Amino acid sequence: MSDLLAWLTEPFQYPFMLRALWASMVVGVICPVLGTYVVLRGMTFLGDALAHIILPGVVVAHLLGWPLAVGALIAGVLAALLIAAISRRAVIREDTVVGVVFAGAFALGIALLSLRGNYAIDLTHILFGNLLGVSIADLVLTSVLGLLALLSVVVFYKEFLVLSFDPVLAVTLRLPVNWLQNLLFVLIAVVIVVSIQVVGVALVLAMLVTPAAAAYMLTRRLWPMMVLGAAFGVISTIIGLYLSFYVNIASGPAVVLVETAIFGLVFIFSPQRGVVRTWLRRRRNAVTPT
Amino acid sequence: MEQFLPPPPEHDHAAFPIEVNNLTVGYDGRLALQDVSFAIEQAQRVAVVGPNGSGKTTLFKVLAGTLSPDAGTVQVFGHGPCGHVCIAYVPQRSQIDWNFPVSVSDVVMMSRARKIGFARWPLKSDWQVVHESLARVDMADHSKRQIGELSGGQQQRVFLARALAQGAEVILLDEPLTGLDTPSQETMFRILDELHKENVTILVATHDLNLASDRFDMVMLINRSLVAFGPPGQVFTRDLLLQAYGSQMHVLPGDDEAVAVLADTCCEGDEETP
Repeated sequence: MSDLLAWLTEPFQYPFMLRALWASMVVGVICPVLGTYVVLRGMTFLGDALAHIILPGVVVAHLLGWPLAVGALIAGVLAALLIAAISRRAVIREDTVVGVVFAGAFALGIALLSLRGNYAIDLTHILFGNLLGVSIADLVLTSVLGLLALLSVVVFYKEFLVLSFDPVLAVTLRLPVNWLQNLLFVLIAVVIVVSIQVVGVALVLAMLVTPAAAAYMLTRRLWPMMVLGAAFGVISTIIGLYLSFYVNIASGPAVVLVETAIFGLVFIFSPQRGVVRTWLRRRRNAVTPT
Repeated sequence: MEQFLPPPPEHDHAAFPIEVNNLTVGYDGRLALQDVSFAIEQAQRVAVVGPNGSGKTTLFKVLAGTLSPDAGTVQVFGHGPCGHVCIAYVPQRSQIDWNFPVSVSDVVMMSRARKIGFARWPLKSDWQVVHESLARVDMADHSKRQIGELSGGQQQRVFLARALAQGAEVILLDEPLTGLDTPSQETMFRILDELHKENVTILVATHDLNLASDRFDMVMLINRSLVAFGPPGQVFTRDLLLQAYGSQMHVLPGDDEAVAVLADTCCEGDEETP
């Protein structure tokens, strides 16, 4: 028993591991909460694009020696508003526009980064996160932004629900639809920014979508989906950190792999929408004479 | 959120609930509706009939104030529709994601979002309204179920309950009867008749010409423009139907007069949705 306890506590004797745990738990909670909207509104591609569009902001902040989150936040908010504006008056298909902007911004980010001769390590950190390098300042920023995002979801819960389920109702109730839409985009951008430190640009999408998608298959109302998603997110970050410590794999990918495993289990065994259940139902129907 | 939003306009009860003058709407570079004018009196039950792509949904969206016209005016109780919160639009079933994680009472509560106000949760009185609205459509027993678990008729009734909980005085129902069995249709009509007695003005887009002629006060026949608007007996004539449906209609010779047969391909979701 004491062996197990020692095994469990050992990683967190190191301050950097404690900081990593705190940062990843914040991200583990807020990503699925906002990711719920991403999943339900079919904005997965948009979320991925947003993550990549943030890159030039991160790089500029890095080159200027600012906290990365500040640059990312500016780029993220600008990009979110830009995409919202484009999607309102689209001349060509929205996903095409997003694709163009997203690849262009990503290229700009890497180009800027390559101005500094030796950029491989920086690029790795930006792409895949640097969870074990979280500083106290990062931690404060992450916590404050995370709390703001969470509070916004609580405050605008009803409005975001109407907007996501039936935008036409939101208009006929004369809610400030454009304003709410922009706010939701900006919140998603904020969450992505906060998560980049933990899992990086390339994997941030998994943090947003995977736990929320797993929760979707197990719940029938919006807030339980958010709560369960957040629970999956936190469990995954904790297990991921242990994996990272003991098996010695990179922490961001470890967290994402655990989330993916949870999703896989739910996908197979979900009592309502799972593969096994569907198969059993079909078998039972086949056997029962009609 | 109400305290931060502009208040809806005072109703001018001397004015028509809906008055449309020379309305023209285009999208994707073609005309969806051209030069449409009509006025609907309070508590009238109006069936809006026309072939697929005739502009029924477009008309409803303009009336609800979710789509702006290119020319002409729409007046609801004497004011443009965009400020009103008394107009309920019930979308076609194909427009809703039935797998969305919301319960029946969640859906009905959505229409109270504005009244409840920003950063607040529903009060007991809001739940009361939701419960009563569901009871009126015989769905109170199903309030906790996820909306995808209901039958088509039940889903339609939930959306009608949502319009009731909104306190709507004008209700626009887009193809609510499509795919419903007869008992569900009867329930719908019972509720619509009750609403009629409560002075609610109701417009129903439908493909069912029999129901349109039996169960409604007025019929509006449209095909990109207004073909006819009047009591069913005056609208359902061979000439007017031919004008609206054109080649989709065949005329069979009969004993007294020719019988018109419609070959209307009615399908949910075919209607254009700008």
